[in-house]
Amino acid sequence: MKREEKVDFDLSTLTLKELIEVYQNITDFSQFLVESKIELEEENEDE
Amino acid sequence: MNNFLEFINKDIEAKKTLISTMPTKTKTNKKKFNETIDDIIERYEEYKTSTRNYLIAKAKSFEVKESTDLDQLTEKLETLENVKFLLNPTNTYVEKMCFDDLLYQINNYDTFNFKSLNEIINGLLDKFEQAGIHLESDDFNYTCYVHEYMTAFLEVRNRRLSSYDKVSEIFEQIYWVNPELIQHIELNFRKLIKKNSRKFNNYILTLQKEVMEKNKIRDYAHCLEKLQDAYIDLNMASKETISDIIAMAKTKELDIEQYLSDSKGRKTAFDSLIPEVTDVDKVAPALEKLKLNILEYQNYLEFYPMFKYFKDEYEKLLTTDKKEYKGLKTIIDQIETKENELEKLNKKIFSGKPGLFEFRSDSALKQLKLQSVLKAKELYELYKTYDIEYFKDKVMMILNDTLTISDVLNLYYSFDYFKKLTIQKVYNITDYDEIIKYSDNFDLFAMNPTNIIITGVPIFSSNNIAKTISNKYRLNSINISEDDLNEDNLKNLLNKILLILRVNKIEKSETTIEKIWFIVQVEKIVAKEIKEND
Repeated sequence: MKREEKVDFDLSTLTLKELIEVYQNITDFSQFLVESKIELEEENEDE
Repeated sequence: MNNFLEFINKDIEAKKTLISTMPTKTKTNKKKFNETIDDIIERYEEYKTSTRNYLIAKAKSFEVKESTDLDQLTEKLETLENVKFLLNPTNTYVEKMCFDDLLYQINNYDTFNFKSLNEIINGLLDKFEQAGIHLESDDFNYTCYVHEYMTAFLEVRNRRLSSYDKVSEIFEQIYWVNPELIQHIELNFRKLIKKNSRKFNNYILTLQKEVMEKNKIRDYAHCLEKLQDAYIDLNMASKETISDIIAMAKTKELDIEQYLSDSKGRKTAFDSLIPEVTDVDKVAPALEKLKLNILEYQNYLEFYPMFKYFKDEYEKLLTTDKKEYKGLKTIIDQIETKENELEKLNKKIFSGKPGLFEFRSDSALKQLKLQSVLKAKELYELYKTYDIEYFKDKVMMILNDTLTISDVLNLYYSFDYFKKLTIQKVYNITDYDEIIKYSDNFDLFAMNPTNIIITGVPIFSSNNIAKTISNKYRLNSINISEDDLNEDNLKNLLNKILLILRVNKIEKSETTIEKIWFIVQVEKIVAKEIKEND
């Protein structure tokens, strides 16, 4: 995947509830990503 | 970027779609898949750190610091409480010297499995020394066994030895001949406390003069006035602040979610308690008073079994002629007669001087010792009756058909020994720490000069405090029923009142409930992080 440009964001426009929500969504997604990773087995060649 | 939340939500969806369509069949696919995931994780860790730091900084900016230095006011109150304790006209030097507490401990030594008898005996000896009375082994002549034990005890104490092993050995030896040794030590102390009454009274008088002069107090009534003022000052200064509310929200002592404007709990509290009130400020003072009344009523209910016991036990004495009743005098005379008899027996036992156990005939000595122990046993029973009569005498001094709950509180507060005995009996407690807990709570209730309901509630007639409270506050547009004041519903009612008062306080302050909610959420995030990193 091509490395994305860093997003410039402004948190000050969010309400307090939205701030907590955005943090929660980021955390949940990070967790989802970690769990989605595939464990690589020792394989000699491509199937 | 205008809205970061929108961006994140869309980005997450896009990334999820992306990774769900990536091939994962081959090892190369899988490797590429994981590389993509790692890139996203890296990016999201950056987002997470930036957002986290922003949240923490923002929450910190919402914190409220209110300095409440209560030390001086608390110290003033404690000093006045000590003065009140010393000036209390209801009790005697026995209670003012706290002998009743130590006698209660030694009296219940077996019941509570106390670890150390030495501590109690040292406590009693300390009290004598405070009043300038240095007891010697010959003062402990209730029985020859008490003398033997206390001689060894005083030797260790006076030489300031760290080990009481030798005393324990002697206790063991005596115990098999005289298992009631502890009871007889108690009786010996009781006798000495009585014998030295003049010295103790003088000591108390000196203390009273000192504290009155130091605190500029004229008399007991003046002390009560000052105490009331000090209580009011402290209550005002220690009123719940916004920072207290934040602290409680953080520790989950209060559920801040319930305080948000769209919460069901908040709506219920307002609608049920003050349905017609538009300006909470107008009912806030009445709600504050109601809160105090409920706390007082809660205390009343907690100690109701003690009041009931008092009523059951002493109501029948209302018809007794106080002048004619000689219960206490009779038992004092009986004790004196028997103690004289015991003293005569002891003189015979001790006359085999110089050695304690040198006696012409061993069996005659044994016989005398046995008689003295039996006499001491009889005296122990007489002292039990004395205790009952002593308290009955104090009750009768104030007994009348308009006696209030407040009078009874003061009576038990003034006589610690009887308060603890009553607690032990009515709550059926056998654990000493539990009794102390009840006793301390009782004292806090009894000492509070802002109690108002119980000062007007007579103990001997039926009364409906719940009805009185609910009627009073309906006049203030506060909608409470007798049922709300039911013991099981009190906590709920108190929570509703606290919620309304706190919401009002927060809304009038520079902060908002949403800000406090935010602080709590950030606190949770940080706590979770700490837990995960542990």
